[in-house]
This record gives sequence, C-alpha cells and structure tokens, in this order.
Amino acid sequence: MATDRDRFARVLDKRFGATAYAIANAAADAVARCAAYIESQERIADPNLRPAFQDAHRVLVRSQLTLPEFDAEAVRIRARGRDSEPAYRLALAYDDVRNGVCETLAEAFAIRQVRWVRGNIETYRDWEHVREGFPAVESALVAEMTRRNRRRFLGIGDAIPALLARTQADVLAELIPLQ
Amino acid sequence: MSLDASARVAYQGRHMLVELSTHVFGTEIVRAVLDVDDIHPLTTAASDPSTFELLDLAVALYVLDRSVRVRVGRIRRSFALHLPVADVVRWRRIIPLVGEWYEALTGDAVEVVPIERGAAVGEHHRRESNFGFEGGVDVIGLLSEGLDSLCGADGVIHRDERIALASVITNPKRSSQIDTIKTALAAAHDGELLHYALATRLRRRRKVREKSQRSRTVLALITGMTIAHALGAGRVECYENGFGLLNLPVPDLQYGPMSSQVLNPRHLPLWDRLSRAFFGPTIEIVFPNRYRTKAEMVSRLSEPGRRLVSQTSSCDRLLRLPEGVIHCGTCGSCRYRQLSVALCGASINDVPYAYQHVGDGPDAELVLRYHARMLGIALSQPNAWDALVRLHPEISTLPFSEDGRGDKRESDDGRRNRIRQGTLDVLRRHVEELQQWEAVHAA
Repeated sequence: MATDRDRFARVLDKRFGATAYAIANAAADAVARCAAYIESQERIADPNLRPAFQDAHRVLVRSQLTLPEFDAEAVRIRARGRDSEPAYRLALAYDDVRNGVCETLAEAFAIRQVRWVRGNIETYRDWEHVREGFPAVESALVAEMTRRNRRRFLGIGDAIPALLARTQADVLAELIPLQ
Repeated sequence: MSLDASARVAYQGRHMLVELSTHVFGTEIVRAVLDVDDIHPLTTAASDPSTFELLDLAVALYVLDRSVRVRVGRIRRSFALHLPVADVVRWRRIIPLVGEWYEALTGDAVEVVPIERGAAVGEHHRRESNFGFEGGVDVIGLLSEGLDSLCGADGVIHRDERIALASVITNPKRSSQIDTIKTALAAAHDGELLHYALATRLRRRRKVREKSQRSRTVLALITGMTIAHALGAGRVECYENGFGLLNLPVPDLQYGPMSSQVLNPRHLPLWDRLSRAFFGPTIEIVFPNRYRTKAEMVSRLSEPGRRLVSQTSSCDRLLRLPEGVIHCGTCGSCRYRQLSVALCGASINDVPYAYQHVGDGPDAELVLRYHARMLGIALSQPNAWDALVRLHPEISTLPFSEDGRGDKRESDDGRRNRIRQGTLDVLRRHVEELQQWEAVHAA
C-alpha cells in the first residue's frame, strides 16, 4: 500500500524528482544529483555524444597549432550539432572556446549544461520552490560538471562514484526522518 | 544521414499530389492532395513555367513539414523531394542554394531531385495565362490575420506607391478573418486595397501533424515573391515586429533551428540569391518594422485600425469555435500581444482570452521575463553588441544582412553600424517594455 511518503515521492518525480528536493533543501548531495540528472538526460537525447565531444576536443587542440582560414571541421561540428540538443550545446561550447570565452571544452560545455538546467528552473511554474536554492549550487555544479565531462568524454580524472541513495524513497529516508 | 521522409510531386487534373514515403514504422505511402484551383490564376500568369516552380517547391515543402514530426530529442529532419521541372540542368545548378537556404531558415535538410516534366506529371503547367491585371504594382505587402499584419495593412493605403496585398490561406477559417480585416480597412480609409489570396489547403493529409509548421512562413514569402514577379513588383513587404523577426531562441533552452528563423533578417542575402536564381531580377524582401517593437506598432495604428484589433489573432493554440475565436492567453504570442496592447498608450478592445495553460511546457510569461533578464544583462555591458553575440551567436552575421542593397552612398561600415545600433535599440526597448509590464502587474 502506498504510503504518504511514496505519494510525496511521486509528486516530486514530476518536477525533477529527488534532485529538485535536494536543491530546494540545500542537501549535501544536491550538486551530485543535479550533475547525474544532466548526464542521464543527455544520454537519452544523444547516446553518441562521446565521439562528438572527442572530435571537437581534437580539433580544438590541433587548432592551437595552426588556425586555418576556413574551418571545415568547425562546419562539420556545427552540422553534427543539428542532430540533437546536447550536440547543439556542444557545438556552442566549441564556439565559446574558439572565441576565448572559456579555456577548455569540458568547462565551456559544463557552463552550457548548467545554464540549461537554470533556464528550466526559471521557466517552469512548478519548479518555483527550487528557484531560490539553485544559485547556491550553481558554481559548484559547473565545477562538478567540468570534472565529470573530463572523465566521461576524455577519460581524464577519477571515476565518478555512483550515488549511494539510488531511489527516491532512499533520498527521502535520508532527508525526512520517519515519525 | 538517414531520411525522415521522401516525397514525389505530381499533378492530376487541378490537384497537386505530394506522395510521402516515411520509414519510421515500416514503409508507408501517404498522398497529400492539394487543391490548386486557386494557384492557377497565379501560376499561369507567367509564360515561362519555371517562374512558378519555386511556388511548387514551397507547397511541397509545406506538405512535408506538416506531415513529418520532428523526432523527440532531435532538431533536424531530412527530406528528399522529387520535383517535376522544366529545365533539369538549370535546377541542378540551383539545388545547393535551395538546400542551404532551407536549412538556414528551418533547420531541416532537403535534397531536391529534379525530374523531367512530361505527360506523366499532368497538365498543371500547360494552361494559358488568364491573369489579367493591368498597370502593375510596385510593392506586395503580406497580409495575414495577425496583429502585425493589421498594423502593416493599416499604413499602406495612404502611401504613394502602388501596393497590392497578398495572403496565403492554409486554413479556410482564416480566409474570412482576412477578408473582414481587408474590407473594413478599405471602407474605413475610403480607399481601395488590391488583394490576392492563394489557398493551399491540404485535402487529404496525414493524421500526424507537426505543430511548428516552420515552412508556412516560407510559403507566404514565396507566394508574395511569385505574385510580385507576375505583377512586376520589385519588393515584398512583411510587417512582423522587430523582436518577432529576430525570434531569438531562449539561451540554452532553445537552439537556433528550434525557433523559426524564416524571417530573421540575417537571411536576406540568401533570399536575394534565391530570387535571382528563379526570377532573374532581385525581388527584395523588406521588413519595414525591423526596428519597432509590437507595442510601438500598435501605438501607430489609426483609429479604424484600432477598432479592428479584436478581429486579429496571434495565439499559438487558437481555438476556433462557431461563436468566435478564443485565444489561450498563456502562450508566448498571447503574452507578447497582451503586453503590446497594454503598453501602446491607447484604449484598445482586445480579443477574449481563456487564460488556460495547455500542456506541461514552460510558462510563456516566465520565459519572456527570463529571456529579457538575460538580454538586459548583455545589453548593459560596455560592448553590448559583443555581449549580445556571445548570448545569441545566431545574430553574428546580422549586420551584413543588407550588403549589396539600399542607398549606395552609405558605406558598408556605416550600414553595418546602423543595423547593429538599430538592433540593440529595439532589444533595449523590448526589455524596458517587459520591465514596465512587470511593474504594472506588480502594482
């Protein structure tokens, strides 16, 4: 039989799930949950983002040596960007690095990823409760996503440990003491 | 690259047939039948059949656009289109331009395969000219049932140039709305409005319908260009407001091809090239309200024009009932319309709003505010144009949009600076209007 806690979890599920709850309550794992959410959404939208990222990274590293007048590879990266939303975000991040806005592709991509989450939080009525809490985790989230992007796409850095609490019920059990 | 759909165009009596073949759930052949009764008076205006092949292309693209949904998580659709043409060799030269133009405007990739027009494709292109207009016109103005269109049509009657209005009717219910606006305006100003309407009703269509309909505006512009060519006009005017023309995607929530870029002025050079490829001389597309906000346009309406505001519609999710047209009141277009009518500085009787939020998408009012806040931050930077381009890389080529056009005495740098400044100013005024509106709401 569904308990009140289960029902509460189901409501939360519709609005960003446990992640929203963690951000709204400034939980210690808010950043990790948010980062995992971004990654899971990107995997659904574009399962083959890794080769695209590596391709863009390779072009950027090489372009530090020579800067061709007509950047055919940039054209190719932008064309790949039309395939999915994460790929488009990647193409924009590539341009950010080329334009000197960011130093590395992992960081530029992380900034775009976090701005996507912030945009969603700012524009959906039922995420109003998260809006106030999000700025507190924003810069930490960019750093975390940068670290994760380096690991996920380039294999650099330590492996990202999986979250200990895997279900919403677990999260709620951690955050809401049972009566 | 996998194809989302391929289509073949043919003619049968007075119908244009677009046969779709999609492979999403196996092979499926669907016939979209288009009644070309209303196209004939236009298309047969030209003795050269290739003149209206661009219109045929636009209609076929419209059918594809309406019938093939964008897949979840994807941005681009890929189409192949077999089109009967008079001169296959000439078309092969134009195909790369057509692909570049359509992808820039809609984000979709299309590969046109020209096929020799013969008896098999029907008699559509073999009729004699029956388009008897004498005198010619200078300008074609596009008229729809929208508020911006009303503002544009309201201003044309007293101009010195010879102007004809043109409409493309993709939904018969819109026809009566446009007729009402046109007749009332002509009567109120005691003038005459020359008006041509082209109906492109799909008589038998797929049940799957893509809602974004990015190609509807493409069809409207090409209809205007075809009529302009038939009547000897050199310009097609589109009266969309400055903010609507840019249609800037909400940063990192939408991306360029996800918001229709059909009217974005940065594509004007592409339109000019397309016009030269099909019509010979350039038929220029002009946006007279490029540097005006919607509220500024509404504030310039004449008294009879203001009375017609309630006859127009702007809603993305319009409900057409026998009792009248109901606006949802919560979509982006409704919110921007409400703001414009509220801030125009005159008392205007607007349309009824249901104020019902449909779907589980983002809230349009919050989107407008969020976007305006980001624009405001960029516009307040010391080098506002660079900050704006960082926020919206899509507009980096905007200053070059009028190269090769206009006053030859103006230098290239001068023209580009004027465009930069005009764009910054109209966006600043848009942000100010949003702030004013928020203040009114808060009060």
